[in-house]
Amino acid sequence: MTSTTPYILYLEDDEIEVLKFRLAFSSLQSTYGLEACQNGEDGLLFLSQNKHHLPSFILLDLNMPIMNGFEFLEKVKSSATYKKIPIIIFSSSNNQSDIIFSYDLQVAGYFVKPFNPDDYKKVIEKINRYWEECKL
Amino acid sequence: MIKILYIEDDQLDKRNMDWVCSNIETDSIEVFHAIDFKEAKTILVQNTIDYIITDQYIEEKCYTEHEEDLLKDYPYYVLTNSINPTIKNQYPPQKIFIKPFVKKHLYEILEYSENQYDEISLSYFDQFETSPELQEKMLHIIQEEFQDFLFKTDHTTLEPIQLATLLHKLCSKFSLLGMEKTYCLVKETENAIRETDTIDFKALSTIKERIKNVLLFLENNTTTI
Repeated sequence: MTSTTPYILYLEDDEIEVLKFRLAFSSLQSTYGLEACQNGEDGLLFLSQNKHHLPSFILLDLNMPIMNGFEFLEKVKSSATYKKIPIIIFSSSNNQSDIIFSYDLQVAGYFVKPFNPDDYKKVIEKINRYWEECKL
Repeated sequence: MIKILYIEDDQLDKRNMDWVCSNIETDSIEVFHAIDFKEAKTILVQNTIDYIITDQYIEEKCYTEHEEDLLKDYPYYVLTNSINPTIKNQYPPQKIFIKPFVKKHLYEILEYSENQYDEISLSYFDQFETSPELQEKMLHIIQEEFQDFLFKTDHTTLEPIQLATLLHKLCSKFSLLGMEKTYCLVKETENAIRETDTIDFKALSTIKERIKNVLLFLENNTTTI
């Protein structure tokens, strides 16, 4: 990835989920690159090291060790530098309170990870296409 | 250990039976082969057999023309090439299966209901044209995490919330292996723990059983792990 390539930052602690995502994502021929961090703390560190080339949007898992998705969201949304980065929740939780709380914290969308690989690919495709066409 | 006596004179069918029985994820099965009813009789005297499976025709004669009494004390199944076989005998078989013998038949014999069985599949990798190296890496991660889960649940006292966190991490693995029933069970169990702060030990036991099935499957279906 060059320093000007737009990219997605995916925060996910589960290595299998990241590999699954990479597999599906690489089949999309997206214009985005992909970076991944293992938890909220790593994500914040990554953002601070890439202030001049921030991600186009962040895909965020909720259930992570050290700093979970909600804690990360609160930090990012209270930062003048990062608060405009769209954040999309990509979680296996379909718990209504998680969904409501996420929107309270100004997420740009909430997607539940589908079980089926076809559906999984479709969701990633939709997210990717939407943000590729959005003016950011 | 389940012991099956298979009466069959065709080498290919014998090999197929061995393959099916050695690739079942749930139970270990020992298959005894007999090429005719005389050999079958000897095996039955020397071993405790749980089920008999016989080809419909042994040495070009219907099995009913051989020593039918031999079958009367055992649950037995008949394999046939015919769609509508006519089998007249005093002790009818539990069921007649059309060849080739497949896993589904074996599950029926072992009385697995549809609900109990959750088939493991590696088709996810084909869908995304995964390289063998990456597939191996991912299966290796699954194997390690499943072993870790079994170790932690067997050897440590976990608080309900700790167990919920461990369960949460299993979902992606069952999803990758196409095990939807288990995936749903894990999610339900995790959610129930988070809502009630109590552990459903029956569900946990089922999940652990499925994990053991996966580990056995991976041992039988991967060469280098």
